[in-house]
Amino acid sequence: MSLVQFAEVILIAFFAGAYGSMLGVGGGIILVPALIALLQVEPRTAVAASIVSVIATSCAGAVSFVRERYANVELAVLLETTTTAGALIGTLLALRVSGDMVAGLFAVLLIYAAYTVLRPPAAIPARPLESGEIRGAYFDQKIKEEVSYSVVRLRLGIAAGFVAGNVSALLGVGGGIVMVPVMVSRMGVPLRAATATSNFMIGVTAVATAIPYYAFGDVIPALAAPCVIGVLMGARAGSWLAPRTKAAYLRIAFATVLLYTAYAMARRAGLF
Amino acid sequence: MDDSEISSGALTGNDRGIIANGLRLGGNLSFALLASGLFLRVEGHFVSNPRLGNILLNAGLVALLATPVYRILTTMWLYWQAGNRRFAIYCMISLIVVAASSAVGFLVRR
Repeated sequence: MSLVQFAEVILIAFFAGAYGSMLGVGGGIILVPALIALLQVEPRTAVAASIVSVIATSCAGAVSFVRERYANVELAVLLETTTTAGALIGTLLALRVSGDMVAGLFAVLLIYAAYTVLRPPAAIPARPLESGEIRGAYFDQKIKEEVSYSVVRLRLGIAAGFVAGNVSALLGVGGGIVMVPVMVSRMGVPLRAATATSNFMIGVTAVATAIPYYAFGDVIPALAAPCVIGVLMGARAGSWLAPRTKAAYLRIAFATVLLYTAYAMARRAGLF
Repeated sequence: MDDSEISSGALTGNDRGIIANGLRLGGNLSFALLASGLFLRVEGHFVSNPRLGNILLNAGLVALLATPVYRILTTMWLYWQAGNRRFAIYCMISLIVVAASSAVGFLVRR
């Protein structure tokens, strides 16, 4: 590969990482369709490169999330049992799914992502701390206050974890797009803790997919490496930019990009 | 509120530090290997060495894949040490699933 080709991949991954981290949906949701549509990469190869980037994003983000207690390790450890199982099943399914079907499924996921970007999950009213089996607490730097919460509906979370693992394995995304809304709007986890916990979990979920993809030969090092580097740099830039950008405009712009990409993916799948 | 006050058998701040340090080490090591492998892999400059570049890229990917596995192992050990068998078993289940998934990768022919 030439310098220009590497630079192209790094640039695409950079924008994917930046946009993804600004809106909390992860870089894979943009990276996979961008690799397919702009660089004509095979869907399976794009999914494999993205899933490796997801691990890198998780490792980089989780360091401070774990230290600052934003990530609820107990909740993550519990939910990982089913996200990894879902990823295993998803990996097996991926063996039988054609590239066009991956593109079609991605179109559906992108429409759902656009919906969640435009309508962020609403938190449920706080429960008494004694009501949940798993509890958590962190110091919120923004409001300068200790936030304590109790996690409820663990069974629902466990079931959602299985779906998230499946989606992650089939489409190369982190699974946060499924888990964060469920944790916030159904399980009583504050948004900040849900995003951090999801980020902490996705590394383990993704590795259950990435190792078999690597063994299958779908992870092409010369493609995956610039994706990892670009997404990591982009995620850092995105987290710096996010508080300095008007969220409402950003959401509308991003939802438009997602819907257009969904249209492009649906066309690639032969649906139009 | 300290972690220990949330529930018995929960991880302490020190335990969280151990997990965070492992993730940082794995992330930084893989990033360094991937970046240097990529640099050597680019054709047409004076230190270009695609063969060594490929070796470093693969080493970087292996280091990256090993980091979450290391994280599960560390968390399992920390919970076990804290006497929280339930969460140690959850970690073990995840580890078994990851091992099964890896076995699928290496055993199933496409």
